[in-house]
Parts: sequence; structure tokens; C-alpha cells
Amino acid sequence: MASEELDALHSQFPQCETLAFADLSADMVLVTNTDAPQQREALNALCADAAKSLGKPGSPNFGDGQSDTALIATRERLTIFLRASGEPADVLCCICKPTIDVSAFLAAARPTLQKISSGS
Amino acid sequence: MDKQTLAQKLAALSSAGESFENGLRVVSNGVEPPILTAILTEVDMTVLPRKLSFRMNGSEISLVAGGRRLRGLVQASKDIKGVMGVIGKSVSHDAPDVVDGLHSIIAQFTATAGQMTVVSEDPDVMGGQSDAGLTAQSLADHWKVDLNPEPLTPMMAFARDCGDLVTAWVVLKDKSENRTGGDGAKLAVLRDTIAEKWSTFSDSVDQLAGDVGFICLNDALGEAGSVAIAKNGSEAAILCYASENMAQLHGAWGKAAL
Repeated sequence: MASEELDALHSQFPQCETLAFADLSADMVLVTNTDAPQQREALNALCADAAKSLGKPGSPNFGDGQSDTALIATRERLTIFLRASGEPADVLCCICKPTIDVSAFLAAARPTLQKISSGS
Repeated sequence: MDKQTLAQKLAALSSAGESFENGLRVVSNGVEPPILTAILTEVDMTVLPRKLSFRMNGSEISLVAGGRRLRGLVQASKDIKGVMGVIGKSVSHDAPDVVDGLHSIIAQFTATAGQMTVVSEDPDVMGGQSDAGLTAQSLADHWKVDLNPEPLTPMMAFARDCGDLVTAWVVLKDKSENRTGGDGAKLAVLRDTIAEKWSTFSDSVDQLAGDVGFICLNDALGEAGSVAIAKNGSEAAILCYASENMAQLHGAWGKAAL
């Protein structure tokens, strides 16, 4: 189950409060971790931010390459978007505290995304 | 000398802001001020005849200066080639080969930019005639060096402090290019991308990261690598980096005084 995968990642990294699996081709968040505090409007905005940063499949917004990882940092919040390899419309949206260990989180989050994207 | 130049000289001569490494005075960190500017600035501040020995990354050159003029090269470490026609020769307008040769020697010395120190001593040779040599300004004009570069803005300092984490960078001020650095080929890709897409993407940057924020896009530049954007009011730094450095680059932004 996708939500269980997201809950497991959240348990491993409690500094990441929201984990949302989204489909950029439908502009829609499909599933989140159980404790995600965001309402539907905020999740839609999160999906829109993923498209603004990563770009829709085959349509990068800045540069010619298709980015598979976007990191957006402010002093208060760190947002990370990951694109699944093989399914460029599948993305994992993550809202974290700025102090999270980015390298460790990415190493765990990417396999989670691939599992959910491939349905395994 | 006009009042502004005099004020700059007095500020440079004051001990405030000087730093030392193992008792040697540090005159450049390799980037700021640019190394050749730092060497000519030392010449420009030398009134009495002195031998100025510059050391960086295990290399050393010794120049004699006096009367705010560079008189000549008197010593160079063995790794520096082509010193035969220059060492011990007086620098003057009548000796363009010496002036050009000295520029080539200093270019070798400065090729691997690093922290540069200077030691000032009484000269063994070339200490006489007070009007010998060429002024720092004259050499700066000939070598196309800016003796009074603009001070670094916080965003320029951030781009510089990223060091090896970035391969090329552009700092924009009010959407116009203000300062650049790094690998030429990657810088060209970065500039092309900015020219093509910044005017539209900058609105997304404002929406995503606000007035003071930081964005990384791994592999967005294709073979040239990844691109990061640091924003601070009217300034933006656009940095090219290798994707494996993203977390460290984010850490550098977190520590930067922007």
C-alpha cells in the first residue's frame, strides 16, 4: 500500500511532516502519509509547485534537461520533489524542516518513490 | 592623487581587516581581491624600496618595488618557467619584452589560485634610482587589470564561498549580469539558459522560494550538470553544480549571510 510506504518513510524521518505521491499529468496528489496536516487546497498547490520546479514530463522550465530532483529552501521550510525514473509524471512531494539530513533523506525517499510508482 | 584614491590607500594601509597565516600577511584568498590586483596593490602601496616576496601554493616570486613603481623580478621558484629574460631586468616602457615576460611569469604564478601571502624586506638589488620601473596603474592599464574592483555583494561572496561545490556561476542584479566565474564551457551553457529562460522562470522562483530562498534542480542543464538559484531581493546567483553536491550546496546556502 502506498500510504504505508509513506508512513514508513515518515517514521524514519519525522522531520519530514508531509509526504505526498502525485501525478503531474493529472495535476493531482493521489496519496499522502496518514499524519500529513495539509488540506486538499494546499496539496493541490504542492502539486503545482512540483510542476513549476521539476517541469512536466518532457517540458523542463529552466534548462534543457529533465530534472529528477528539485529542492526548494526557505529559512522556515524545505520542500523536496522527486521524479520517478521510468514514469516521469510520478513525483514524490516532501515538506520537511530545514534541519533534515538531506542526503540521508534522499537515499531513503527515492526507493520509496520507485516502489510506489512501480506498484510493487 | 584624488581624494577618493587617497582614502582607499589610507584604508588599505591601516591594519584593520588584515589577516595573517603563520606570521605572513595574507593579501588575497585566491579570489578576492583577484591575485594580480593584489600584487599590483602591494606595489602601489610601496613607497620606500622593498623586496616583496609573494607566496602561494608552494610557488614564490620576489619583486622589487619602490616609489609606488614595480622595478623588476629578482627571484622565482623553480616551478616557474621562462624567467631568464626577465629576472634582474628593469621594468620600463623601453623594455616591452620584460613587461610582457613578467606578465607571463605572474600568470604562471597565479594559475592555481589560492591564498597568497607577502613578505616585505630590504632589497638586495634594484634598490637605487627612485623613478625606476613602472607605476602599478601603468602596469594595470597594460595588463588590463582593475585596481579598484567593486566590493563583493553578499550574493557574490556566497558564489565565491561555494568554491569547488560549483563549476560556474552568474550573479544577476536587477535581472542583469553583474559578475561571473568558473569553467568557461559550463558558464556558456549557464548564460545561454539564463538568456533563454530566466525572464519567465524568475517569476516561478519568486513564487516557489519567496524573496530570500534557494532552489536546486538536479541535471536541469543536461550534460553541463545541475543548476541552483539563490535569491535575495534584487540579486540572484545562478550556479552550475554536480548533482552529488546538492546536499552540501544546500548546507552552504544555509550558512551564508544572505
